[in-house]
Amino acid sequence: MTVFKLSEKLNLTFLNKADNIEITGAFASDLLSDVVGNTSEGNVLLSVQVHKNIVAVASLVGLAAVIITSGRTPDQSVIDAANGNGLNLLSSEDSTFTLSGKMYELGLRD
Amino acid sequence: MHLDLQIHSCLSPCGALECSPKKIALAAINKGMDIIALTDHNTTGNCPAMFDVVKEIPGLTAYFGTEVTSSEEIHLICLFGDVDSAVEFGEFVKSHLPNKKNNPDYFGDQPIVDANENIIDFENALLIGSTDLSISSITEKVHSKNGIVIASHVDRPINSIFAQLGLWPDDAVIDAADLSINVTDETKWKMLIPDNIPIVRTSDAHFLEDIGRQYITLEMNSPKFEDFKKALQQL
Repeated sequence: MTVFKLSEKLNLTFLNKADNIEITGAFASDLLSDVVGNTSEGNVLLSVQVHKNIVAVASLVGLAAVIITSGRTPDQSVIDAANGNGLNLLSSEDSTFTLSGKMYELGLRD
Repeated sequence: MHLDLQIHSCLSPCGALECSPKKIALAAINKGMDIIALTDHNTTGNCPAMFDVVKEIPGLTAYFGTEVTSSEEIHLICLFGDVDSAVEFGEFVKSHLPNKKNNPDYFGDQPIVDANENIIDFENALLIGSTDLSISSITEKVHSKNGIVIASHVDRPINSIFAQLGLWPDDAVIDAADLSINVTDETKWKMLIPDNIPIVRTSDAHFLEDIGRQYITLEMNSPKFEDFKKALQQL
């Protein structure tokens, strides 16, 4: 599944739209040290972490997208950084738990 | 001069009841400290008592502050040279804590005391919680009051800048990085911490016997906070 398809199916909002990358897996964490250590290229990250370093860490690993959950909103500077780094940054009103369940049902199981 | 820049009093939920400002000051003198900083979690409530204690003790200077928990759950030591700025900042921090009350059975009592160790009040706010203040909003506020911000125990797996953010942030002006007593070899941390950020050691004492177990020594013209800021930049 691609990032755009996932967004459409789960009614996500694009805060920054970049390339329509094929998703290789998903991960949920708010600790960016955990994200650095346990994700790989093409993964989607679900997090309530809105610090600008989500963009730096996503670029470092090569994440396909970052989805901010529970309706949290990052500062404009974070959205600008996502734009500058070509990162898909999305938001959802769902909690990380709920969104993880929906993605699992869609077949994203690791 | 020897400086221990992170000490918790009885007001911190995890601080021992014995840690009154008076006993902290006496323990610091016994350990040969010249300058100490009172940094309770998310409060400056015992800073006025520390001010009263230290003014009676020649040879010991106090800086005033708090160890704030940011919205990213990072611990930041925020220090000021004067008690009024610290207390004003403490009120600002308190207004950004969750609207929940402390449960002393779980987290301990949070007594506010005077210079003579009398309990004058109990802080009811949940000091162990996180504020809704981002790291950059905290550094901006502290600097606007001429204070400094030290990233606390950056090596620790919880509540540290690296645990929470993975990398050193470029959107917040941090004045120094603190390494906990667990670090014996600084090599790795010197690679991760930007070159222009001085590395400090603090006791992070929550018990009297821990005061001064780690400290920094700086060449300073005087114990004044402005001279400390200058000396820190030369580390």
